[in-house]
Parts: sequence; structure tokens; C-alpha cells
Amino acid sequence: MKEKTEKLRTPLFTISKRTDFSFKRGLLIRAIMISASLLVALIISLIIIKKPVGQILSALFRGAFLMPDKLLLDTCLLLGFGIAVVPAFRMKYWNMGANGQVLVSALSSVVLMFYLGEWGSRSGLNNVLLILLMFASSIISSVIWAVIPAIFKAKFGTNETLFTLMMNYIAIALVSYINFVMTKGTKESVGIVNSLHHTGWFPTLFGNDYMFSIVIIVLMTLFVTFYMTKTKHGFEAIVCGDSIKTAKYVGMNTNKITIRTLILSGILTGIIGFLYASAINHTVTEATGGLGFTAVLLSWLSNFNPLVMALVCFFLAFLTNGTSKVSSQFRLGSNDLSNVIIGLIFFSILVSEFFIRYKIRFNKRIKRQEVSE
Amino acid sequence: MENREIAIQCNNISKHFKGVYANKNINLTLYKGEILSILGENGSGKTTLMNMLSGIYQPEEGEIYINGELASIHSPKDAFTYGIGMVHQHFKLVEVFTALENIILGINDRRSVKEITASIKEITSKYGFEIDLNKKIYNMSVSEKQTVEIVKVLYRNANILILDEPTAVLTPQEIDKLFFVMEKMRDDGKSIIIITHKLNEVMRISDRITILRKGEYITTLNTNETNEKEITEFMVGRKIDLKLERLRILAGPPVLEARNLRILKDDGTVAIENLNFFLRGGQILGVAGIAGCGQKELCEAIVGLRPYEGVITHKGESINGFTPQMIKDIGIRMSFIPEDRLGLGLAPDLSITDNLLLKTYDEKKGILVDRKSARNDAVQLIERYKVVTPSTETPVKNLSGGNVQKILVGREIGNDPNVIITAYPVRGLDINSSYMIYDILNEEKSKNTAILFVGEDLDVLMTFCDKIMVLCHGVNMGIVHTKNTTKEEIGLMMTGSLDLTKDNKKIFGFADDSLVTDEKWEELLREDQIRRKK
Amino acid sequence: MLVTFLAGAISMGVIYLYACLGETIIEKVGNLNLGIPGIMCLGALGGAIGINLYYAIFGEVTIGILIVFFGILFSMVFAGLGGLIYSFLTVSLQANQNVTGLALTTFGVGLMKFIGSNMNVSRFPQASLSFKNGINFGNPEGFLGTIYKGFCEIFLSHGILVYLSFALAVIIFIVVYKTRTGLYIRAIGESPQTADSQGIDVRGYKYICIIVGSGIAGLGGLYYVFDRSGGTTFVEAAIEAFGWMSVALVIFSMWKPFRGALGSILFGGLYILPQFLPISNTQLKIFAILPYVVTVIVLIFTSIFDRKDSQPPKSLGINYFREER
Repeated sequence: MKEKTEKLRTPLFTISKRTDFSFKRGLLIRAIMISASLLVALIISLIIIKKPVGQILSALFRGAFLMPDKLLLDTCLLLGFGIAVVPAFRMKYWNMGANGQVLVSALSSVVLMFYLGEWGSRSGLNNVLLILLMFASSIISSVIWAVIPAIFKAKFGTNETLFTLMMNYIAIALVSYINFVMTKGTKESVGIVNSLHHTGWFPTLFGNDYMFSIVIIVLMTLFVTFYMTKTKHGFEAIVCGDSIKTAKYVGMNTNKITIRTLILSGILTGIIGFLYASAINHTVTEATGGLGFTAVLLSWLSNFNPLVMALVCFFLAFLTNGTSKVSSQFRLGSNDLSNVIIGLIFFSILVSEFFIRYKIRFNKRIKRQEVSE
Repeated sequence: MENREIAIQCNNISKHFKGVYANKNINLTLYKGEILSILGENGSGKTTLMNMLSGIYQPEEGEIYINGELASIHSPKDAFTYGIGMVHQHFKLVEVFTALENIILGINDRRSVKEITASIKEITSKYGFEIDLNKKIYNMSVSEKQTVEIVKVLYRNANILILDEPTAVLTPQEIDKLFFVMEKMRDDGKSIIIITHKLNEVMRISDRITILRKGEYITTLNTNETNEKEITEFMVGRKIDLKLERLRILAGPPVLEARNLRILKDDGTVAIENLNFFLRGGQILGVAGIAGCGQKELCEAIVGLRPYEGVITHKGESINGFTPQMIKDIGIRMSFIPEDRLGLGLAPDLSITDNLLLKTYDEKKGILVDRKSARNDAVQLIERYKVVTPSTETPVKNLSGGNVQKILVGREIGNDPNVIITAYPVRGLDINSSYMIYDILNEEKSKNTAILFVGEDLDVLMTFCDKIMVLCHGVNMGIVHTKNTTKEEIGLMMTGSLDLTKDNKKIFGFADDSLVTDEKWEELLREDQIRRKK
Repeated sequence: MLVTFLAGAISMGVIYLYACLGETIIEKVGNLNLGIPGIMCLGALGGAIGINLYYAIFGEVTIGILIVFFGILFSMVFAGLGGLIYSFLTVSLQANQNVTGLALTTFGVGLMKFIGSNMNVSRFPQASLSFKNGINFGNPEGFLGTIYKGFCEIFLSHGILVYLSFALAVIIFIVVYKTRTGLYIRAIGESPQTADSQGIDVRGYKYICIIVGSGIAGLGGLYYVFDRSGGTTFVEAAIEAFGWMSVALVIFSMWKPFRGALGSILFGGLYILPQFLPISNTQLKIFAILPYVVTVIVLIFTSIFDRKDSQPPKSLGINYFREER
């Protein structure tokens, strides 16, 4: 008899896909979840720091807005990374390799800057030529990095997630190797290149080192948004991502589109790499490409909406800068509080996605009664 | 007969999906030690009924008694405990496992592999299966896989076996073998339900036949007291008068001609064998046949989505091996309305506007997409076909089936095609939407468009089409004029009992006024062979 | 020289091996967990917390076996919690596996560095001795003695975690390929629909495999901190890189534990090889790309030559959602 009742058990609740989406509801769920994650983060920091909430929060805000241009730059860099992965993502191509792409492009620029620095410093024209050369080589190396896995994906269906991950580490190894070569085996990093005569350095705008980069990344964002929403190429990429069969049905060459889209992604990361080398850091280290994974997360979870992405980027940059102040003020010895919070926020968004996309219905226990009759 | 023990008794089973009855008051009796055939056209509710017996669906009304006890089957596992095992048309096997591993999957059997193997061997030798237990599934033929499925079910001590179209994928020799095994199982006291569409097989293997039509129970017959003609009549029913009209216009010359087509399915089995046909402008050629006997593959091959052997010409020019893009490039406006709308044809996450854009986005020069005119098209389409949608920017996956289909049909008709290939265009639609689709197709016909119409409802095919090509497992059974034929005749052809191509001297599917000379055909066929060798 | 090299390769490879074994179990049920680097960090963090807890309880008394026990226990619990988060999100909440994994990596690495850098690490070198304790193998003379000593140095000079990792490889192989449980696990990874239709509890198995696999992967982090680096390096980025290497190793091993064990020695060897070659520091650096290049080549080859036996589990990366019936 026991077996019988077990057999007739109905599940406590059933989950089904939702077909009605309400914008307000989605916003509310996300807001609740994100607040919850921030609360958890606050509790963790309270436990570790052992200082009143007010002190921590004030340090957070002061830190964040201490250098507004830095905050803006960090926002833009993150946005640039995020935007660079969007085209490939929209066609459901899992490009984890933004890190590597930026690294090789920054690397190629730094190498040129290092070896041609003296030549470039001889005249203004030489310097301009050098910058152009750096720009070109950045783009080319980044495109190569992006396209290799894409070709294999198109030709043989090689798993791009793992391939691009590996490409990151090959890039990292190359960076540390070339750094050694440049310093003749003496140092891990070449340091700031041409710090005396600034050859190969991008000009400043409005007297601010970062302004040019910020403007370029904003333009880049606008371009990608335009490309994805208004051009045929962007449209094709989106269709491929939505339904590869339908894309073929209307006569699209999906392999060509894959490779073309990854070339674009390579160009975008190439620009970022160039900015790192020429305008921001003037050097290259393993950390240069460190934002790639966060970018993957944020562009996916913002649903590729550039406006949302920009907001999220600002928020993340705020957290990073703010927590770094928190860390230094309370002598935490590590800047990684921000990563903990970012991780928690991403978890909470993933949870809210579920409640937005699925409907949970609790089952009434009718069946059981029927049996007991 | 009446005093035999009953294995399954279904009383007044009903189940509906989205307001449409899939099963309505179905009664079914299965005795111990018999083979029962369940017959019915597509959509007659056979699979729904079987899924309820195997625990995939639950009936909304009615009772199922198994061995005299009221049963409640909530999962395939429950079905096993009642001794019911189903062999699905699409096998549920893990490809990289061996036969043995697949058979023992999910059973808590504490015995050693040796003992298990021995008891499986016992089953196989008892019923005469030939099976290599250590062979991996991916190395197996379809028939071997089926054997594994059956042994799997038997190993779970099933006394009631449900076989869903087991012969569809088998060669005649393999069918003989299967029937031999089935008879042995019956003699052993097991009960078997077999779903098949081939009447000769029904006559050969089953003891009794239960017939369903449009979700309702019709009758049960003893096989030795009936004949194929009577069964067909029960199956197709009396001819229903539809408010449909066949547009009588003079058909033009052939637009599309195809000869010696041979097309493979995804799994490498043959979908279409040695098929000839032609489409005239201003004519609708219906394609009748049991679901899955090559219609889908035929459509995909014509529009360039699937490779094929043989030759297809358009107005006398070969379009052999053309991709959809190439077909478009040489100026053929071919429209394809596939059966799987959201999977093929539409992009589910994109808006109505963007889905209309799919077909036209690269017609205009320049790098930009013209969303503005697409939005206008969307507004017009929504208005014209009365599509229910919040806006033109709603993702199509959020629309109901009928509205999705209207968008697809509207788009495909919208670019003024001269060839339309359509498969089950009204499937899942309500009456009004269906008639709207028929009207659209008739209107296109009046514009001298050549139309291929794959349908499932014989009444519709009979009233709506000019000619009907009947396929039985990928083989052409004949092409008939609808005014000269009967539903019964087509039913017999569909089930393979009647083959007009055999006793008729004429070669079916060759146009008398072909735009291509015989010599040219031969040359084209030779070219095709050379092309494929490369 | 060769002896030291091989011993080093094994000792280095164990970091990869743990994570590879853990990820193999997880991938066998069809989940691609890119959170492995984060999970390893959580494992290292858990171990550190456990060992500090030990010293808090027992003071200065060194009971080697108990130290190791505390390390392993807390390491597995922390890493397992990471696995729990991942499985809750991907199995119950249907979240995208790649995104969840990356978020977990961000979180795990961050948490280890954040908490770790505010932790008392002074006892770690002392604790590490308990982990590193090898077997004393005597000192025989002569030619045979040399071979014996060489053998012992390669295979028997390691700490307990090294033996545990190889034992785990054997156990996991047996469980996955020789038992019924393993059969179910593989069936879920290949075709959750089939497994479900045969009455196998797909979700339950996924949860268990992901959590256990994560726990095992976490031991890689523990091993790195308390054995390989002798308790001297705790908070550093290296673990993250090892994590990605291990994900690569899973592909390299074609989801087979023994190949994983051999592969880990190979990868470990490639990692330490430059130290043993008569090359400059600079050339040494270029060798670091070798394991990755090798993995890429393996990846390409498995996709070109469609051999059924060396393919990833068919449902890898795809969540299973049983539609409402």
C-alpha cells in the first residue's frame, strides 16, 4: 500500500516558461535581488572590517568620487570590453577571449613603442607615423586572435568557449615572454615605455590623459549599437544567434557571418588594446586584459542593451574604486572586496532572471484525496 | 473471445490540448496474448492515447484498468510497474553506451553483470532476437536499435508492449523478423499494441484492429472478419463537405519539374526514392501521405536546404544543387512555408518587423536595414490578416500559433512568389485562420503561381487541390486528379495497398509538355552524377 | 636530474589533477563549470580557515593527521558550497552555465583574496609540514640502491594529498565506468531525457555530482597552498590560472580519469620543464604556452575527427528542463 501512495504523489510545484513579460515586474525583481546581494556584501564587510557602517559607507563614496576622471575611465573601459563582446554574443558565439585579444593588441603596440621609440622621437611626423603603425598592428593582432577560433568553429565546429579561454592564456604567456625579451631577462615587466619623451603616446584632450580614450570608447559604443540595430551585418548576426536554421532558410552564409562578426570583435578589442598601450598605461602586463570575464557577464546580464550596460559599468566602476578606498583606509591588504560584491550581484541577477522567465505554480493536492476515497 | 482475460481496459478516456480534444471518450480493450493494431490518420489521437498508457500524459477524464485494477500512471516508471513498456518511434537510447548498458539503465538490479547478461540472453533466445550486447548503439543499424528497445522493455518485465510505428524504418526482411518475434511474444501470453499505417501489415500481424478518427473512437474489428477496403472506409470516414472551393482555372506550362529525386533524412535513411513530379503555374499539387514519409525532406530539397540526387528544373533551367541564396539570385521567387514555423522560417526572439525584414533586408542597396518600410509592411500584414499582437515589435515567440503562421504566410506571400512550397500550413490553427490561409493560397493560384501543398486532412486535399501525389514511405504511389478519385483510393495508396505506378504504363510525374527535352534530361542527370561524385 | 624532474612533475601535476577530476565528474552529468578557478580558491580558503581553526582549538600541539583532516574537511566544505551555489543556479534555476561559472570564479577568487589577505597566515608553513610528510625510504647503496632511491623519490617522496589524488583518480574511474551509479551519471550527461524516462533522478544526481566534484576540485587549491608552496604563498593569482589549466586538462584527458592523471603529470612537467633546461630566463617564459597550445590542438583534433568515444558528454553546457506534462 505504501508503494501505491508514493506512486500517486504529485510534485509540490511545477515550473513552466513564462510567456508574459512585464517590464515593471522584471525591474522590481531585479531591484530586490540586487539590494539583497548588496546587503549580504555589507554584512560580510562588517564582519571582516569590524567598523561602523557609516564609516565604511562614507569611505566607499569618498573613494569612488575621489578622482572622477578615473571613475569615468574605468566605467568606459568596462563598457568598451562589454561592447566588444556583444556582436559575437548576439550570435551565441561564446567568445571568452576578449582578455587575450586586448592583451595581444596592447602587446604589439608596446613592442613597437619600445623598439621604435627612439626613431619616433626624432620628429613629430615620425611620432604620428609610429602611432598609426601601433594602431594598425594592434588591430591586426587582435583580429588574428579573435578569428583563429572562429575559423575552426565555422569549419569543424570546434568548441569556441574552451578554445578562446586557452587563447587568453597563450596571450598571457606571450606577454610575460615579450616583457622578458624587452628587459633582456631582467624584469617581469617593461614598465612605462618612453616615459621621458612620450613617443607613441596618444595626445591628451582638454588637458586630461584619459579624455581621448573615453571619447573613443563612447564612439565605439555608439558604433556597435548602430551596427547591431541598423545595419544588415548586425541583423544577420542576430538572426544567426536566434535560429541558425532560419538564417540558412533565408539564404545567409552562416560561416561567413561568424568570421565577419569575430573580425569586428577583434577590431574593437584591438582599439581597446591600443588605448591601453598608447593612452592609458603605456605598458602591458598580464593584468591589462583583466576585465574580459566581467565584460562577458555584464553584457550577457544586461541583455546587450548598451544603456543598461553603461549603467551597470558605472555601478561596477563605482564599487571597484570605492572598495579600493575602503581597503586602503581600513588596511585590508587586498582590493578584492569589489570582486566579492560583483560576484554576489551577478548571482543575484541570475536568480532574478529565473523568476522573470519562469512561472512557479504550486499544485493543489487533489490527487491524493481521490486516492484516499 | 469475451471470456479472455483483459490486460488493459480504457473507459471513456478524454484529453484535450488548448481547447481541442485530442482524445474524446476513447474506449479500448486489450486482451492478454493478442496483437492489437491501432489505426487512424494523422491527428486521430493514437499517440496521445499511447502516451497516456505509458505515463507521459494523464487523462483528464475516464479510467484505465490494468489487469482488472484501476490504475493511475504518472510517469514512465509507473507504467513499468504496471508492466507496460513503450517503444517510441524516436528511440530513447544513449548513443555511446552498449546495448547492455542501455538495457539496465535505471533499474536497481543488484545482480552481477554475468547474471544480468544471462537473464537478458534468456529473453533474447526465448523470442529469437539477435543482439550483440556489447555493441555500442552508434554502431548499430536502425533495426538493431529497435531490438535493443524491445529487449529493454522486456527486461523490465513488461507484459504489455506498445510499439509506435515500428516498421516505418525497417526493410521488408527486418519487418519479417520483427513480426516473427511479435508472434512469439504473443504466444507467450504478452499483449502487444502496434501502431502502423501499412494496411497489409495490419492484416498480417494483428488479431484485432481499433480505429480512431479525429480523436474519437470509431470501432474495433476482428482482423479475420474484415478487409482492407472496410478498414479504409472506417479510417477516412464519410466525405465531409467543406466550405472550401477548388478554383477552376486553366493551368499553365510546368514551372518546376523534378526527376529521379533521391533524398536522405538526417539520420542517413532514405526519405524519398526515385521521385518524379512537376508543378504547373496556377495549379495546386497536393501531397498526401502518412506523417514522416518524406514530405519534409522533399520540401527542404526543393528550396535548396537539403542535398539531393536527381534533377530539379525551373522553367526549363536546371537549379540543381542551388542554395536558397542562388535560387533567389537568378530571380526565382520561391516561397517556403515549413511545418516547424518557429524552428525554421522565423526567428522566435525577433520582433514581427524583424521577421518580415528577414526576407527583404538585402534587397535594398547599402549597408543599412530598412526597418521603416518593414514596419509599414508589418502594420499592413497585421491589418490584412487580422493578427492579434500588442505591437509590431513583439517577439513572434510570444504570439499564438495561428498568429505566428499568419505572419509566416503573409511574409512568404508578400514578395509575390511564382512558386510556393508549403507543408501543413493550417496545422494547429483554428477554423477561421485556416480558411484565411486557404483563401490566400487560392488567390495566389489565380495569379498563376505554382503551389505544392503538403497536407494531412484528406478532405481538404480532395476539395482544395487540383492533383494529389500520394507518397508511401518516400515512394510515389501515383499522382491523381482530385476530380477523378475517391478518398478511399487515396487512403489505400497512402497505406501502400494500392500502387498506381505499377499497373499503369504511363510514367507518373513526367509532364507531356515538359520544357526540357528527353536528351537534355539525360544530360542533366549525367551532370548531376558527375557533380555528386565531386 | 630526471628523477627530480619527474618527482616535480607529479607534485606540480597534482594541483591540476584534483581540479580535473572534480570537473570531470561535473562535466559527466552535463555541466560545464567555468567556476573551477573560483572553486579552487574557495578550497584553498576553506583549508586555511580549517587550519587556523585547528590551531585555535588545539593550540601548539601538532597532530599531523588532524591538521590534514581539518584542512581537507574545510576545504571540501567551502568548495562544495561553491558547487552548491553553481548547481542551485544552473540545475534548479536554469541559469546559463557559462555565465554562472564565470560569476562563481569572480566571487571565489575575490573572496579568497579578500578574506585571505586579512587572515593570520603565520602558522601555515608549520602546518604545511604535516601535509608534505613523505615516506621515509631508507638509504640503500649500490646500483640497485640508486634505482630504488630514484623510484622512491619519484613516487614515494610526496605528501599525503598526492597519493590521495591518484587514489581518487582510480576511485572515480571505477565509480564512473564500472558501477551502476556511474552508468546513470554518464547517461545523464549524454541524454538527460533518456535518463529521465528511465526513472533516474536527473536533478538529484546533478546536484550530488556537482557538489562532490567541486569539493574534490577545491582540494587542488588546498594542495597548492599547503603542500606545493609550503604554506608560504596563499593569496595569489596563480590558483586562478591553474584552474583554467585544469579545465583545459579535462578536454585533454577526453573526460577519462586515467588520462587526466597522466595528463596532469604532463602538464606539470611542461610547467616545471624550463627550470630543468639549459635556457635563459627569457626563453623559459615562452614554454609557458605549451600546455595551452597542446590543449588547443587536442580540442581541434577531437572536433575534426568525430570519434564517438572521445567526444564531450552530449548535453554538456545545456541545462535540462522537463516541460510541464
